[in-house]
Amino acid sequence: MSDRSLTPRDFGLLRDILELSKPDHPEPVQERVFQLLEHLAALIGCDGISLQELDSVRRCRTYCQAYEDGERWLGPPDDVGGQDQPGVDVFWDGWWTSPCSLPDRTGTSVTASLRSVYGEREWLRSPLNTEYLHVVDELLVGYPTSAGQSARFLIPRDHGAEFGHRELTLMEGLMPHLRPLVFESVRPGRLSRPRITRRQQEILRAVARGQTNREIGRSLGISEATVRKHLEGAYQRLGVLSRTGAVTVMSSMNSTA
Amino acid sequence: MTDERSSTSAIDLLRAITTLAAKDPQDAAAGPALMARLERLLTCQAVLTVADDTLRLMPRQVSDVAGASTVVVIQEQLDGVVQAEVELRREPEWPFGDREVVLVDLVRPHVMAWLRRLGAHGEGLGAPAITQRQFEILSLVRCGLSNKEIGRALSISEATVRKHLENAFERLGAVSRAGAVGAAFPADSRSDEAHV
Repeated sequence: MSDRSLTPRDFGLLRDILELSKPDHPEPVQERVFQLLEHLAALIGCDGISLQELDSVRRCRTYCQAYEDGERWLGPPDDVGGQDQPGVDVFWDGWWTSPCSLPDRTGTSVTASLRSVYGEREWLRSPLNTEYLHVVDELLVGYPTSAGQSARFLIPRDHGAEFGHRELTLMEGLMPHLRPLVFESVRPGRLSRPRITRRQQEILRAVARGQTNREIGRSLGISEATVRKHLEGAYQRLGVLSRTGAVTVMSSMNSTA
Repeated sequence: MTDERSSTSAIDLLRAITTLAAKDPQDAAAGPALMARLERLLTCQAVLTVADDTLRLMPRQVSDVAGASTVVVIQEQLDGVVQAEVELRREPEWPFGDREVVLVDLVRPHVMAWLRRLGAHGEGLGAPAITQRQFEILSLVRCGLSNKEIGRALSISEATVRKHLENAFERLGAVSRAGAVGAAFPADSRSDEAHV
């Protein structure tokens, strides 16, 4: 019954959460996120809650701020995320077919719970659960932040019932509100960090238009080998492995400039 | 509480509103359905108005409706011009309360995104003309995965991946992987914004 109605306590929590999410809130970002996590935990009912950013290409965690059992926890900025945690390989091996990668696969913000995807028996047998997560259910509110990277609120339940209509609806309703604070905390100015030369930019723009190295060389009056050399330099500075990766990083930089 | 059906709780109405607001606004039934849910949730009248050549909408103060307000407006502006709005109205003797203020705040960005798409008449939504599966595969291309790696990640054959990509290239008018990614993800954050 209480699954479908909002209590006065719920309304109080919702009001505070919306207040904390406002861009002009006076408190520092990190403090606001901690308060937000506490409030969300109280509203949703869970065993711990965290805000994380995961990198699906490098298979690591690039940000983590958590609240559990009344304790606040802030992961180191370049934490290579539970790399030695048992079962983490199972998690990453199944990444692209699991609901965890939904924000990365769809390119949009997503609210989902594991148990809205997996049936009960299926979940009890799933290696993701038996080898790694060991939870009754987990709620995910994810936002793609860059190519293959996404920030997410992870809200696990270790016991009790799976997340239902009430929790999913509330988090879906809150999803656009929480977005600015998520970006502010997970990647403050990080998108503008890589510096590449004007020539490299020029060549990458041509790559984004779909031109080959030979075509680019011809239009710029330089050799194909020089184009390749410029691109190699750009890949290194942008920290990417391919033409496609470079184009993506460029486009996300431009869109926030 | 004149029209409160016991079967329809605040959660059900919130769910209906966010679901309807995520749908195509050009669907003629979506507008009335969305307004009806807002009326039920907030126990008020909801009126949708879309600006056109003959009708201009004035920007109105819409934030911070705390206190004894009887009118709340959700507007969507583009370059300072109001494209569309929803006006929520109650009788003068019965102003909105704290509960409604929180609920309006909560649904506001969802309704605004819907109004934005309604005002844009379905143009330039950042929704590429490719299928969900093609988009999914391009997302993996965007991460730098090879066709073989993508096939393995999604449990499909490399040939299937290649076929999906060929079709996506054609639809996007792209000739290379990088070109296709550039076309499918014109601006990461903005295409995301269009959905929220």
